[in-house]
Amino acid sequence: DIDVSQPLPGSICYIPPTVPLDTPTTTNNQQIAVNSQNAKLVQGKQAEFTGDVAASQGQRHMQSDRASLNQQDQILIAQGHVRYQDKVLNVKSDKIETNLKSHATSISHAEYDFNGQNGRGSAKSLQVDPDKAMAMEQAVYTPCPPGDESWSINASSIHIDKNRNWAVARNAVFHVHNVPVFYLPYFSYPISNKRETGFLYPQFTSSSKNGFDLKTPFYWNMAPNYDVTLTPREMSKRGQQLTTNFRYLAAGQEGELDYEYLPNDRVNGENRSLIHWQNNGRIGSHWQLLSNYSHVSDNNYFSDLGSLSMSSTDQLLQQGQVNYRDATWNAGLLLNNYQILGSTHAPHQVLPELHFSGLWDTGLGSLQVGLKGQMSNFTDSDPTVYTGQRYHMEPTLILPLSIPGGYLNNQISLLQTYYDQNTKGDTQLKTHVSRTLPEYRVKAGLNFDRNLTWLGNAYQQTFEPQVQYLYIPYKNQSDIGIYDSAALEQDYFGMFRDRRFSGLDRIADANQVTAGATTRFLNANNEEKLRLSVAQIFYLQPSRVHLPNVSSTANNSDRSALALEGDMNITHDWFFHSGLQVNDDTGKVNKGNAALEWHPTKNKLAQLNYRYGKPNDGTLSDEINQIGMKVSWPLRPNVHFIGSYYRDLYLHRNIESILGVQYDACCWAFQVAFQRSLSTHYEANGQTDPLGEIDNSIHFQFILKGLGFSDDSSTYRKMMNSGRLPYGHPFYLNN
Amino acid sequence: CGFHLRDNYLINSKFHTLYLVSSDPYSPLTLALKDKLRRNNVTLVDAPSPNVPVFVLKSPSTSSRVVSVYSDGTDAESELSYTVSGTVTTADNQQYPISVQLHRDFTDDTEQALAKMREQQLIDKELSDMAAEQIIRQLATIH
Amino acid sequence: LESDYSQKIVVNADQQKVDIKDNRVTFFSHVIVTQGSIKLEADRVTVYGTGEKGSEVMIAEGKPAQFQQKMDSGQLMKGHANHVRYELKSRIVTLTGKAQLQQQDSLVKGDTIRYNIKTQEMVADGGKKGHVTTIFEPQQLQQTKKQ
Repeated sequence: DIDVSQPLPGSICYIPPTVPLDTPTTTNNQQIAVNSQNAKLVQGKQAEFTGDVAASQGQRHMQSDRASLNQQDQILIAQGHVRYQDKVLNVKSDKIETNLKSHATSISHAEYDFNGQNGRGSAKSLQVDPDKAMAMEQAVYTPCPPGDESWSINASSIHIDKNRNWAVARNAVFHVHNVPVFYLPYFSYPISNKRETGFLYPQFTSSSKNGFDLKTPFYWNMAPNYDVTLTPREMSKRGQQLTTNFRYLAAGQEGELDYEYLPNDRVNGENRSLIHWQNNGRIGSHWQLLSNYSHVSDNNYFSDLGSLSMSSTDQLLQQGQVNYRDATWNAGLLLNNYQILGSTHAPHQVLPELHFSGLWDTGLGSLQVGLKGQMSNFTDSDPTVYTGQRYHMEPTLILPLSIPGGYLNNQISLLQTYYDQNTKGDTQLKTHVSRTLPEYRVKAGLNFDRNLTWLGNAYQQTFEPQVQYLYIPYKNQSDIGIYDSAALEQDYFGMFRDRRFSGLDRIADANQVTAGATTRFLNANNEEKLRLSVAQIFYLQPSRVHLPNVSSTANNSDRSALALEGDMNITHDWFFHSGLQVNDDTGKVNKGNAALEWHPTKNKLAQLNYRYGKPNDGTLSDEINQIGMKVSWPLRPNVHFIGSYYRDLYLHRNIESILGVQYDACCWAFQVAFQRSLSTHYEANGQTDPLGEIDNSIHFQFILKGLGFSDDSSTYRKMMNSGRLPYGHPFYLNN
Repeated sequence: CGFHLRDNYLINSKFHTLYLVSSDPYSPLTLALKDKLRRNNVTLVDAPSPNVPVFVLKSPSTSSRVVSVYSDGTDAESELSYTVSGTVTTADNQQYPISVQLHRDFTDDTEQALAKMREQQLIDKELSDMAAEQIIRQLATIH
Repeated sequence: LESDYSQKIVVNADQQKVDIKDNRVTFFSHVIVTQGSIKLEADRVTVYGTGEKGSEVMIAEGKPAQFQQKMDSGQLMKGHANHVRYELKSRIVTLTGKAQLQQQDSLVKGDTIRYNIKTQEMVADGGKKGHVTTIFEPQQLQQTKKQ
């Protein structure tokens, strides 16, 4: 099909290709060739050319009525009906002066446009230094094609610094159809979309929670490696909020610091704020400095105001890490805390934890020796809750054997953990507990291939059976407090783990065999077109270790649920994914999801997804029965429809519906979307309203194209993702 | 039924020596990939040399999105995504893109936030292992 | 070179015709005229004497006629055209008809080129429908800076 991004002649965005000027050719970038009716040269000093002058130097071309070249300072001045053209720029002017050495050029009364790109305008004076920058005084800029005066910027000066990909306009007045609309003393905008800048345009919303809601982001690119986006927000029901997003990239440290502040919200009179700091830093290739800190002023911050800095969540991570990593071992320090919204009890704080992990070749064939260690100090903000220090050591021996046809991995480990607990009166717990558990694990797999034709296409099918035996003896651990242990997901990927609980406070006894297999269909150029995996655990002895408050009705049977995972992309634009956990005694599905997508072109997609889950398998705390649909479809070349619809079949109500339309002109676009979505509401006592809160809103978005405008599909996607359940392409095949 | 035990390594002889450049040389992904490359009979050189293919591996990025919500509107399940990309330049300097995208389901639980953070760390480790395997399979598609 | 003009003119050619009354000498086929570093090569060269020594006028015609002279700066100047007129006294060379003049790596091509060696001033004209082409080489730009 036609590549939509390349506009066709006659379509709204057609930019006529530039007609190259008829000038003599030169053999290299320094040589200058001048054609003229007549020429007058004074050797080594001055040269005058008159009559249809056409000059070129490498890829710079110029035509004018007359020109003069001063050979001492190598300045070429062209006057009268001057046309200038280089790789980027096309200019009509009355006088151009250019330095033949530095290529610096100054043009007066210029009418310019860019070579084959959108963007044109005029300027009283225009300085061009092709490698670095372009500066215009008394300038007009518009990305609209010739003849389209939809909008333009008039500014006292516009500076475009090429390698920073930014343009800075001062005293900028925005015109819509030559009518001045609003004034900005300082306005900087990206002229290439190298750096993901997100939405930089005024966004207007009206919602039941905030009334009329206008966000006008200002982007200020202070230096190549840091920038700030200030977004003042006016809400008729609540007042003014200011969001500051500061991003930095310096000396190996990359991150962002965000602060959102709404003084005395008119609805509840409080000051409401959010702070978010994320740093991903490296010093050399070994040291890592990671931080992820967020804090909000109150429980309903996200559901009332949303956030431009982070996605809404009900648990705000406050974590710092320093890690040292080498080829065979790594070590690190971790500090961890959470701000939990609502009345739910916050987990223990980890203040601090030292961890170490190493794996070395022993030189005896492929035998490796490993050692893991962890020292953690768990504290709690609630003085009545038990706290403790945990010391864990885990030496291990691994013998990995592999040939193309298969592998056999043997592993023996010793899990030695010591607890020093302050039980705070909890009679179940002991102050000193030592737990020593050996673990034996052997996993083997084989790789079979065969060629077959299916549905008329030739495939190579693989069949990869795997089997694992795991043995960990039983030890009563009820005298150990729960700090960081919870049930792990029992999907296909969880079947071959040696742990049933995360963390270390509960190590489930195991005398079990896990059997599973994966089959892949690889097409002619070895791309995965279908993959099915299945696995199940067979308990030779039922596992007796449970988490204290979790009902353990499920596993008196001798088998785990059957876990399946499937991905299919047989024809080019149809995708299917499914994950199932089926109790094969009762035939009932404990947990399952499926998604089907039709994605014929970049901007056309329709996805249907379904998720089901019962709470009794330990990970879900309530039943999930949810069907969803996402659509992004062009109705006409410049009118695009997006839809998102999610329904809770458990409570028979819809939890999110978005209907949006984007109208695209060549240099501007307009979005309108109607949205109805479920959000959490915390009562005064911190409890959540069991049925949440439905919020209706209408979003209007005006996009000035040509200002760092990334391609259309990302604006459609932003419209589709403005609810709680963003679009995702959950199909992962190796193609 | 026609199945035979695989007798040749996935990666063909074109890559029996390889120069791997990673922006994060000691990350779990890079170490897992080096281990799997060695198991696939690939010798890794640590300096560029003529007609040895070069594999430039960018650092991975992880993200998560909510995929289901409870009746009170709080997050129920989310999907963790792991994406990494790179470019392979063969000895006869053809360039091939490598891109891996993996997803895993994850059930959040505010009451056990610390335990869920441990599970996420475990999943991230498993994902970098699976990504290394996927990269090996994508190298196998280059012939 | 300024010293050229005090040297004597040497001509060799296959044939020669002298016309004393008009004080004119015409040389034919493979004509080479030299005076110091000045050198003219053409099919036909006519030398008009004006009685006063050193003020002769030489007209060379050829397809094309070649002309060269070393400049005071030591650089060699070369040119050619269908018709070359060299007035020794006024030191003016006029090339007409597909004229080309190369000096210090700047090359001028046009219909007529008039070059005054004393003032180093050159005027080129493209003729009715043609145009003048001037090409500057980069080294020439640097050199002028050094002088």
